[in-house]
Amino acid sequence: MFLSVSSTLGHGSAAVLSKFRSLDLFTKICLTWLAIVVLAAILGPVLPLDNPREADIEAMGTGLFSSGHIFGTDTNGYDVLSNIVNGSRLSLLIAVVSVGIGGVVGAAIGIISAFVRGKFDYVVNLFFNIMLSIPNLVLGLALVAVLATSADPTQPVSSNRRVFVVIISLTIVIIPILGRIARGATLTWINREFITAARSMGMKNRDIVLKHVVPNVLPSIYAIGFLAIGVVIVAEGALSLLGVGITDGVSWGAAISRVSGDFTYAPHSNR
Amino acid sequence: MKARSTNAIEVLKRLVQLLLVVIGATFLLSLLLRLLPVGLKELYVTGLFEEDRQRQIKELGLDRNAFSYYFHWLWDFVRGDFGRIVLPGGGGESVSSHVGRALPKTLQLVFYTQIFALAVAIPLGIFSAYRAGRRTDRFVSYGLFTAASVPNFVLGLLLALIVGVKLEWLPPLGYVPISESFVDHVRGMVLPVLALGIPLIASYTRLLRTDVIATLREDFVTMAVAKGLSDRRILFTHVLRPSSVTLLTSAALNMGALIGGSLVIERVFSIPGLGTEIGLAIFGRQYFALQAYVALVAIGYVVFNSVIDVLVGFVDPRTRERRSA
Amino acid sequence: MSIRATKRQGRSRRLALFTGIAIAASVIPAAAQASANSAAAEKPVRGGNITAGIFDQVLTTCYSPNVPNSALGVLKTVYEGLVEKSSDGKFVPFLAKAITPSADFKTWTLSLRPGIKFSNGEPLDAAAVVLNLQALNGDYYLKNTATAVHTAGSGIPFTANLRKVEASGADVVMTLWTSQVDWLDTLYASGRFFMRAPSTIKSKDECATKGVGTGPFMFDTVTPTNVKVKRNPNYWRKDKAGTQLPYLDSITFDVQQQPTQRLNALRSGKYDAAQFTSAGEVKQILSVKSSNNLGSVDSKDSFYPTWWPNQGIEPFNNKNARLAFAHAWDNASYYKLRNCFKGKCLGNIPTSIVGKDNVMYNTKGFLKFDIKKSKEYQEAYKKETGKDLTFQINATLSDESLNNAKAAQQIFAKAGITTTINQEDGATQVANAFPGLAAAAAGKLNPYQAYAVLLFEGEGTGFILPFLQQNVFSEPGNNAKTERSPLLPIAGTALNVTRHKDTALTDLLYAAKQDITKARPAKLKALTKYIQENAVVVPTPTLMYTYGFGKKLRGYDTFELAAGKTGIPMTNAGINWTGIWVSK
Repeated sequence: MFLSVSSTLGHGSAAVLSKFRSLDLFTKICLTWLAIVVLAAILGPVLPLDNPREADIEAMGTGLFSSGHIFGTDTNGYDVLSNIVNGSRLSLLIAVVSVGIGGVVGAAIGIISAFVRGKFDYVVNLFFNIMLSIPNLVLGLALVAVLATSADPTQPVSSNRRVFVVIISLTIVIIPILGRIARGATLTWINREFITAARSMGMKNRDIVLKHVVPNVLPSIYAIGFLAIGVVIVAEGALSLLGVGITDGVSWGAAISRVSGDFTYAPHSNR
Repeated sequence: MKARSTNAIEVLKRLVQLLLVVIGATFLLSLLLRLLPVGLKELYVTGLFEEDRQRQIKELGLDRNAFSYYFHWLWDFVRGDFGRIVLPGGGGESVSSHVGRALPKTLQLVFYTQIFALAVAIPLGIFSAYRAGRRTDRFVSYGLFTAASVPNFVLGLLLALIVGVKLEWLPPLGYVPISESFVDHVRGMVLPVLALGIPLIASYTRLLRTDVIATLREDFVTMAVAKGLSDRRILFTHVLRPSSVTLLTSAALNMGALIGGSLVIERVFSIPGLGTEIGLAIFGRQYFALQAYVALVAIGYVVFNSVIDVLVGFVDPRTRERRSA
Repeated sequence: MSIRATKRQGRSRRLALFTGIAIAASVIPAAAQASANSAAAEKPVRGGNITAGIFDQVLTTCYSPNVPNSALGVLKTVYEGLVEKSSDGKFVPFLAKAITPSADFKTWTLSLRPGIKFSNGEPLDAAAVVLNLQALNGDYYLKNTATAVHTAGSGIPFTANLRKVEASGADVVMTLWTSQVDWLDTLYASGRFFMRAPSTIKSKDECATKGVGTGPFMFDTVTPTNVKVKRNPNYWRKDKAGTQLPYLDSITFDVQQQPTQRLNALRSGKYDAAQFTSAGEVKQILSVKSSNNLGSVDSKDSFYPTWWPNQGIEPFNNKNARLAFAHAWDNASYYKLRNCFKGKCLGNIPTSIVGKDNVMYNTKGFLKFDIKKSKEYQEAYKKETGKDLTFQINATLSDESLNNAKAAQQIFAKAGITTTINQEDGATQVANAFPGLAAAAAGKLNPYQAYAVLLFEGEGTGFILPFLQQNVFSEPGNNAKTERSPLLPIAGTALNVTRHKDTALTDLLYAAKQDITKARPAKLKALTKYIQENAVVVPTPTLMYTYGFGKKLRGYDTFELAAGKTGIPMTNAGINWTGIWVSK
């Protein structure tokens, strides 16, 4: 599905549109939603919304469609719509960058290692296992603690550095997960008949990997990778919940953790 | 005879790998702790007099360099001395007594969660692969994606409020040991297991679905269909086994993640398990204890993965052939 | 003293322990009894095992670590002090039978109730009290530096005025450096100083995990997140009907930091009782109070969190910066944002650095919220230093704390002041802001530009003045330097959170503190005025603590001390559990 969509991108907007019409309803809804989120991320700053960082003293925990707040406010008085729209930017950035880099690096290492085998594979596998054997939240917390705390408490850590560190930490957590998946999938494909055949026909290793292994391994990577985007957005929330998230930023994760216990008081703001 | 010796070599290899992973993980953590902006000496050492402070520094091994310190720690760990909880001025409990209390609770939680997630994901994964591309498949997929994008702590709190308070079916928090009351034990575990397990189901189902679809294209399936076997029979007896390699691998890989996830869920549900202890160690700056906990999780992780690797060999003979090759 | 990093560093942390003793006294062991809600005919019955939800981990049963609020409540089921505070703010002997001062208030003589024993059988005699007080003020540590580091805590600066304590027959004589009429307030230390069994003071391991006190309960199992205490069968008190106290067989304290879950457990009956703090749990407290199925008891309005602008570093070493800060701080808006929900509010908007019940209460010199004035002072600051006024606010790791910090940030932004938020775990912040003796001696003092924290509490001065003293050991008349340890005078700056070197403030403070005449209250009020005019500290809305109870619990709204005296039923450390019982 994702491959077919991306392959149409080059064919002009008419082709995209007709391809879009041919998709089923679920996919249409999803693509539309994705487009809205991306638009929100891009247009957030220019839309006429409340300041997402400023609480409304007179309206805390108000319901949907209350005056001045279409989606209401959360229990702390922050405008919900504005936080959704403006939070999408940071959340998407964190998720796409960390899963993107983590996925590409992890998959490349995993595939090459499974294909090469031998000592290199042993070392790579060991490295993956070491990273995976540390509970990822612990690893994330430790990395954030080391990288985003300043030795001199009077010197505040800039919020950009904090974002950078959160992305790095999540990437480091993602690499071995997707790397192991890629390696495992490669191992199951590599002994299949068509690869043996390709080998015996004298095909170069590089071509075997690119033409036969990668296309077969990608679906497994997708299956976890796209799920990982959601997981990473949530993980950023867990880091916020544990107090090592992005303090000055507006993100979905921060918004979720801010109101996670407030179902009783303003349920609609729990998205 | 020959088979036995290769088995022995296999076991030895596993042990070496286990050791290397545990050493790697703990050494990495030990280095990270050394890099912390607030030094361990400032955290743990008190007293007005220099000789006092020097004695405490010595007792804690903080006078050694990173390597020497690590190997002393490792030697103690191997001998079963996990260190102590450090209080200013001394006098903390031994970490091993904390482990003894906490570990069984977390193991129960993690096992129940895995069993629950697999029990739901296997039929669901096969079903959605069988109906791949149809509306029901899409429905399952998107439903699971939605469930997976709800953070587990939010799910936990929501369940506690609805099931625990509004419906009054189950307690909203608390742990009861089996020895005290089996029924209460199960009642207390349901909500945390759901909160931890539901996001897991999504990823398991996705993995199994992908592999089942791939297996369904294989020749032996076509053969089986030609033989006139029922769809159900083909799916569960012929397709499931070879398709479950990635799923099993992923389930084992998740052990570390689950214990990490239980850090949050155990806090929410007041379960005094290893997750809670890890949280205490991180936020209470009990870094010696943290190192012991991480080492234990790493050991557990490697053991589970080794077991799964052996299982995979049985499940998918191709992997076994490849190994022996 | 409390250092609840509030505002909020949330619920948080109290530095430490110490205690009190009270003037003269009544004799009869008191009874805890029930209670307004138990209506007419119901009589207390013995038995019952209950569970209570709290929000602070119980990391130790020992001395030096700072015990946070609700964990202190757990310790207080096992430990008791020499003095209790009655509901009218006076001090009543509790474990002590009587405590009497000399005419110059420099020597205090304490006699004990006969026959009280620790739950392990050791007697609470003069020797035990002397050991406890020496462990508190550091003498025990200074005599046994190799084995008693665990007793060297923040009690040392707090009891800087205690020169000597010794047994005299069956009595205990305390000699002070300087006259102090409210010495009992200092020793009460907001309910933080307990009597511990001598054997547990001497052993650091016993001290940390197996504390033994004289209280109604004894530790059964202690883990950081779950503590069970069981009835002390030989407790020294009986109720009015002659029934042996306490009524309950056991209490299990369960740590649940997520306030919604604490409330859920209370509402579902999983918890029989649960404590909440208005520092971030306003909504939950309002839920408890509006529920027909739950009972509740609130703390008095005697917890006054404040901002502590740091005069040791930029920018608040400049007076214009402090004045700009004070005028920019909009208490009314902050109150609405953080103490209220849907029209209902907890705590009060401050009109002085302390509340109306405190002897130091004075509205004179209080700087009101005024953006125009703030901007003038910002201008003046810029003229002097060439810099814009900007500073850092602290938040702990909890969501509530971060929300509090963000609300403060929003308020300063309205007045044109840019702030940044430093999110760091509460224990580290307390350790940084209140350095240990050694760290203070090494010159590592509070590094935070403006720390918002609850330190001031109570109606007296015992838990207020030490934080305003430049150095608790440099008081005129105090010569600890030569008599005890040359290091103490340096370490004496550990409580000086604002790091001020203001001699005018110091002079006012000592004049009021050492006064034994009727002029004392006026002198204290003059001190308050000076502090407010100079923005030494800037008050924020007051805090409240609430315990919620399931329908079956009784006896929580009174706490009887001795004949005719009742204690304060609810404090930051929760309730006294002696007289709590379960209705059948």
